[in-house]
Amino acid sequence: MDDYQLKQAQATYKTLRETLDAMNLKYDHDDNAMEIISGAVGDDLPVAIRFCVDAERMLIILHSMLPFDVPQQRRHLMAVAVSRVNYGMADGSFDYDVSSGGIVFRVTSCYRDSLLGSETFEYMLTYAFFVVDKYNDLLEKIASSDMTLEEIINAVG
Amino acid sequence: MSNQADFKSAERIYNQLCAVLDSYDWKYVSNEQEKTVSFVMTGEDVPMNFTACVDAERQLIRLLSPLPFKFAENKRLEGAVVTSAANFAIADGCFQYDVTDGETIFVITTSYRGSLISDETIRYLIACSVAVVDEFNDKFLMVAKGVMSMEEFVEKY
Repeated sequence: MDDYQLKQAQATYKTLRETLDAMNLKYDHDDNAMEIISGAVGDDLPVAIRFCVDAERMLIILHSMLPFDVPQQRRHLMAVAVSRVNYGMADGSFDYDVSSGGIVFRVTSCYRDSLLGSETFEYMLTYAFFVVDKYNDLLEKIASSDMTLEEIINAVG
Repeated sequence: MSNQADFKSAERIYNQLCAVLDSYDWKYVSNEQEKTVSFVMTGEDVPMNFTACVDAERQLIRLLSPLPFKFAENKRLEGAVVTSAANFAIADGCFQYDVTDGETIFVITTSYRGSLISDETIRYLIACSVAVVDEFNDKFLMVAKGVMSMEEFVEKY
């Protein structure tokens, strides 16, 4: 990482924190790693939020790890459910680790030579919360069920 | 539809997108009404089609690349597993896989809401898409044709 990348990353991180402060959001932060950890209570399951500034790729990334792992015997079929949820999604994706059964929602914005405004960070946060809260309980239900491929497709819609 | 300011922002981004493609001297088909541009790239193996569009409503730049083959009915589960594994391995963008018809589309987005987006960011979206699609399209094709198993793919990534 060169000096320019570091300066851009720091400026982006500063705007991110200012945005979250203006939203009165409670969060933990690691200024050296340029990471922010927060969370909220959704309609059912909690929604974890982790913002990080990827200085090398010049990306701001929001991850939201779902609070369950897919059991070993459901790992392949669960890929169908995650694919179905991702298909046609306007932004972001649920990333599914077939090997461990972990699912994380990810939404990114690129700040390369750009100036990202507070509105973009607010959007990323509210969008991630909305999508994760919408699908987390459905994915958990599918993970712990014995639904077939066809039943999963119908359940996700 | 979005308001006048959103429409003007979308128009500015669309013109910027066309200017970036002009700077490469690339041939492309544009649709000003829909705010889309389409172009073709030749990768190491499988040809790659791209459509960039400006989503005025959501204030997103979106670049889509549909893969030129589908997973056959008896390979649909494999398609879901390998596209999921690929999504978990990449930092930005995602493969959206339609398990009902076997189609796969790579999608990468960035928000321009309240932001100043540089030409460099647009170049990054294109370069990242080309690199990711070129990396995975031939492996997906091998799985679709039964030359590579989904387990081999998952192990590789």
